[in-house]
Amino acid sequence: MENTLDSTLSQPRALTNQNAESSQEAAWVAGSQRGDAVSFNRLVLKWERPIYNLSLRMLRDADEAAEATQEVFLLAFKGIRRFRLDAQFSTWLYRIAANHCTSRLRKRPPGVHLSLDGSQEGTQAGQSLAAAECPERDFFRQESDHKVLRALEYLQPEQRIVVELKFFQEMTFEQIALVVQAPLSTVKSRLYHGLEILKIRLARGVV
Amino acid sequence: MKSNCEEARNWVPRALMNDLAPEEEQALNGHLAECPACASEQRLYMETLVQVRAVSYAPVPRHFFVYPDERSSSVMEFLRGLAPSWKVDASVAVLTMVVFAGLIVARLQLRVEQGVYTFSFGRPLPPAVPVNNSAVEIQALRAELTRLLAARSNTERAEWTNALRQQIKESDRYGARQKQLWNAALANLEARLNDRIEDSAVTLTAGMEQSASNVFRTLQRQRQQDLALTRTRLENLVTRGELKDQETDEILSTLLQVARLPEK
Repeated sequence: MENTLDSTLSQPRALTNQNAESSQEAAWVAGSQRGDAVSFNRLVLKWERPIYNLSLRMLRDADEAAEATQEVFLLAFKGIRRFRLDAQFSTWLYRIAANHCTSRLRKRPPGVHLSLDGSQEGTQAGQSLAAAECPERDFFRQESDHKVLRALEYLQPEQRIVVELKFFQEMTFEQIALVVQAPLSTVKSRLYHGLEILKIRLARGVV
Repeated sequence: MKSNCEEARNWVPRALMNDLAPEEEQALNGHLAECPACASEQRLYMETLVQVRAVSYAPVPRHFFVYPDERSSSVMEFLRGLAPSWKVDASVAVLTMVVFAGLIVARLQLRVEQGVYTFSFGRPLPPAVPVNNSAVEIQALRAELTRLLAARSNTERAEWTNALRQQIKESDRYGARQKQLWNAALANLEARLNDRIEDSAVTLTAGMEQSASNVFRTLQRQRQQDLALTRTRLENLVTRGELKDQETDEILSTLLQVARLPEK
């Protein structure tokens, strides 16, 4: 278990700090600010997967997540001239996505919880290449993913976005504070409360 | 012991997030080694983290490219995209324009006179009233009026007395004593008129309640009565030429009485 945890903790999946990629990204941002749509679409290609998955886990609806992702990139495209080059593009983009998804969640009528049904779960997990190689492992992974996603529904939008950014986007507390524009202590408090709820829902099987 | 467990359970998730100080982490590890319940709590958190982090990434259903023509936005989107400082500036500018437009619509007229603001919406302002020192003005007007009255009265009095003296002098029907009495009466009358004119001027100056025109008319009326009476008597004397000394004396005494009448 500890080996699994260590290996999980040591595998950043979304954020990369490599200098080459950073300089390339900065060039694309600069091009986008000059009005070059091709440069911006390179940024879209790089960030569409994490942004779509963030939207998917936040909104729990594949169609709505796709629509929200498109809107997030459109908002970013329109506002790219206001982006300061001394900041991190990913932080700015995640901020737009987090605000947009939280706003969409708040606009939902109270008590409405959208869940990925069987077909959408298949869309989500069934297309995983690694899982496709082994049907049995695919089945257990789907079950585990389903449990986690159901447990996430019990979190408040503010807690959910912090959990999302911390565990799925591998951000540091400082980066999360920049994205959600909240104090560091608030970010930590939201994360630990969210983690406690997830622990109760997952580890004790109350999902 | 219970408080140690409570503290340890608060520290467990923080330890998993590398959010504990070294001494806190050391204390936590020491407690976990001794407390199976807290160690179990730690395992639950670790399993939770493993499950959460094991959630697979979903592939994107399509690409989310944007196109240059999508950048054109409405006015509201443009305003929404402005920086906060620009939003404030734009708001102030719009507000100022709205206020000025409102004032133009209302045809506001504004006048500032000696620190006093006068507004008028849609109606022309009343003509400006020159603000002067009214007390000084009234004093000057009163003095001027008094001076004019005195000058006019003096002139008329002088003309009348001169004419009367000339008639007395030219008349050969009076004795020396009568002429002397006439002159004395005229001098007294003249002095009396002077006094009355001066008294009237003083009264005019002191009393605000009595208007200058009333004073002037009163003076005119009294003087005209005096003149008419005197002229009538003298004309009778000249025409008949048969006045006795006694009658002349009576007339002169009457004139003297008139001249000495107290002012009412």
